[in-house]
Amino acid sequence: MSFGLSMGVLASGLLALAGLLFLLQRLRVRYQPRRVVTTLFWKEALEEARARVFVRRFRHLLAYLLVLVIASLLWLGFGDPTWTEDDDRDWIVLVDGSATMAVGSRMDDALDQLREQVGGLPRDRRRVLLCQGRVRPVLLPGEHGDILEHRLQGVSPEACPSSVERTLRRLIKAREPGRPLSVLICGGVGIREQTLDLLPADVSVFRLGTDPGAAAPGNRGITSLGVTPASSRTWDHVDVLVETRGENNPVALTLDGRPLPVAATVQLQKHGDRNRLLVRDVPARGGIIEATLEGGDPLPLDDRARLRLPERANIRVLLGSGLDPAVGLALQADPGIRIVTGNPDVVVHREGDSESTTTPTLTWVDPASQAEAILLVHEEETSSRDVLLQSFDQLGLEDVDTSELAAQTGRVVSLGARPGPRRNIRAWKTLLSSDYNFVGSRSFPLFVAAAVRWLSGTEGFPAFVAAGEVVRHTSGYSPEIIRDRSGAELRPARAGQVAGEGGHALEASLLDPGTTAPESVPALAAAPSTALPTGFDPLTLIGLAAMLLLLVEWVLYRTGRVP
Amino acid sequence: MPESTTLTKRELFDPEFLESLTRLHVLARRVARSGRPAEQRSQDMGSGVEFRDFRPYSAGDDFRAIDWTVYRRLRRVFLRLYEELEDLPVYLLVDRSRSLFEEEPPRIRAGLRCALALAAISLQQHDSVGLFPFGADLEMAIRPHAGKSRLGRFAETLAGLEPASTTDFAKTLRTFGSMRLRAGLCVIISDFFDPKGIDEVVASLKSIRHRVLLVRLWRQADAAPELGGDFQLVDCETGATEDVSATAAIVDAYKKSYARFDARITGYARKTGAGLLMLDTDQEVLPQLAGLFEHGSYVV
Repeated sequence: MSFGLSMGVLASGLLALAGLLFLLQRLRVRYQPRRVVTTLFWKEALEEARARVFVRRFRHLLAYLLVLVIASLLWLGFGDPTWTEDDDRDWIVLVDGSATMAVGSRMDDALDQLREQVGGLPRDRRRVLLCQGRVRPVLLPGEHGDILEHRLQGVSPEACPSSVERTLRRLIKAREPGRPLSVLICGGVGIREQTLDLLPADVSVFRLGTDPGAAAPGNRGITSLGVTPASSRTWDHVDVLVETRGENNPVALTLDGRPLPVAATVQLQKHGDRNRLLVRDVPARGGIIEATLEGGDPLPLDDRARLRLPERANIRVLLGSGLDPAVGLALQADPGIRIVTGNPDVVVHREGDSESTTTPTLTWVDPASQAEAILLVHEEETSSRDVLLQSFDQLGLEDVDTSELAAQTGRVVSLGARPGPRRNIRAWKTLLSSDYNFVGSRSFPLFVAAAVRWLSGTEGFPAFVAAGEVVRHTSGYSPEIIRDRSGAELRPARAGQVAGEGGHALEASLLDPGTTAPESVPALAAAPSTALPTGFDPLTLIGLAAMLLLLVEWVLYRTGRVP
Repeated sequence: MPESTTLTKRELFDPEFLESLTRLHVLARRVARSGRPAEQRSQDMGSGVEFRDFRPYSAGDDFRAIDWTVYRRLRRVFLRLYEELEDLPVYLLVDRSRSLFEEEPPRIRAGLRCALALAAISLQQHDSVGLFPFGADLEMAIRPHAGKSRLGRFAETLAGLEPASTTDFAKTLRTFGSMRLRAGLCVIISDFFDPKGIDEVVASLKSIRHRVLLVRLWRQADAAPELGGDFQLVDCETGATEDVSATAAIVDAYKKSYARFDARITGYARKTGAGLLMLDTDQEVLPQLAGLFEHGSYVV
């Protein structure tokens, strides 16, 4: 038997009751004065009654014990006891609150089944987790079942992929070894066989209540909404890709609430029930593009997707004099770069030219002035090691023929990084020499473009922002993974607005094929009645016992056996 | 003590009440010698009308009592003896302890009515009646004398009785015994609640040399008290307190104690031939008193 109160509180209460009742027994009665013609008979009666005491010192032991038992029963009843018969296993109920549950009355049915079954689970060993964008406990071990009702108020399916299976894996990993565990899945999601195969022998997974199934027949949904740099090479435009699943799915597209011109869209080849739509040259000015499936279907949460487009302005570059023309040609060929004569974002020049103290600079230096072939000067707060690791790929340095360079210069070619007041790149001017093939290689324009973008701090943009998935940059000019304000990986819990590092607002969408068109997985077995603990309400028995004892006390009182 | 606890002389001296007593008589089988002429048969031989015996003449006897018929027949002189009718001394011992003045209505009211009724009955048949109120001790309020006219004084004295502190039967009856009064009828009107207990009361009663009539003033609540809860009971006479939790067991023990008390008084009356009138103080006195007088007479 378990109680809502802790055993310490329960035992303390019982002791306090025993003490209190003992004191009450010992307390002098406050007698009400009454004048009578004689006390003769009362005196004799009292003498006679005293001849019947139970023990010498404690007059009313039976009365004390009786009232102690009654009070203890009531106290135990107050402790909210539950009685279950099972092995000492833990019980965890995973309630699916993902978008899948928005089909029909799945959520309400699942919650009804939960309410119905949770009372039978041992209170001190049961836990109910609501699996939505975030997994949160709605009933912890020891908590009263009524709290569950309170916490489930207002719960509705979220536009997020199901996290039940992920939570199940985590639970299995984190569980106490050797302690049996039963997991009851409440909702329509299935568990893949490979996950079930991972279950230890003393862990069982059952379905709680009826299985509504994960699929929603006739459902259509948007499974992808992403952006890429415009194939037209227009720097400040992007192409938008929309993928839908299901039949007869016309998509309405708007940018900042205004419909996009139909002429801009290209219908890509259809694969099965997948339809892809490409929208070319959408201005990348930070607007929100929204795709909406027209017409209704059983699951409305996947019928709409939103994405904030990147802001892609040209980078203003000031070219110094005397530079190798190849540098200027590479810069002019870059659609994202505009050569200016003043107020630049980035300066590209030779060593010895007047150098700005505030503008990031790509400086071609004499190899004698620095040991490293390329030296990255980065912000103080960034680790040099991280900068090196990221920049090696981002700057396209893997394509540089360093062995040839080393042979010509007779020096060790290396990449270095150190912190400084602002970003700078210092590269040997030897790299531009005609004796060396770097300028003529395909890596050179990429290096120049990447160097300018790294120096300007122009961040990449996420190709897509899907609920439940880590948000990543597509371009290599910034850290690949976008982090949230706390520094953790940005993983939107649900569709809606999220803020990345630096407060940049993003729009996340469901975009989950597993929700829109779930794979067929074997349905979980329903929990057999023998697997569920048989619980009954001992409060009723305690109440009956207390009433019976009160009746006994009344009879004893009436017959004069207790005072 | 509230004024209403006792009765005024006017209330006591109710003509209707007294009129209804005229058909009641107290008859003694034989009263003691040396009484005053009255209506009770006495042990004295005298000038009554009821022949009782013969006895031989002796010098100095009244010649008028010689039975000449016997003399002619036997030639011996015998006197005819006639039963002398004398009075029956009635001693009214009225309890005026505090307990009789408690409760509502106080028992003293019934006690006073009863005392006056018995006084009236005895006085109207020329018996001498004395009044002896008692509490912790006994006093002679009205010396035993006959005379119907004395009834008013009885009423006045009874109405003026003040409550005494407590009851002490042993001392009361010792004092009464020391008065060496002519043997008569000793009427004790009391609730018999003596703090020393009923055994002490009965022992004292046994010392009375008179015929005894006990008038016990009681009420239903004495036998079955309607008391529930925790009380500090204060004895109105002694001021003694008893802390009582009136449980069913205690009330049962009370009832048993009271039953023993009741049995002791009844047993005394049965063994000694004393009269016992249970006077319910919540009921009318006269009908209860009339019950004592079988066919209008109470034979002592």
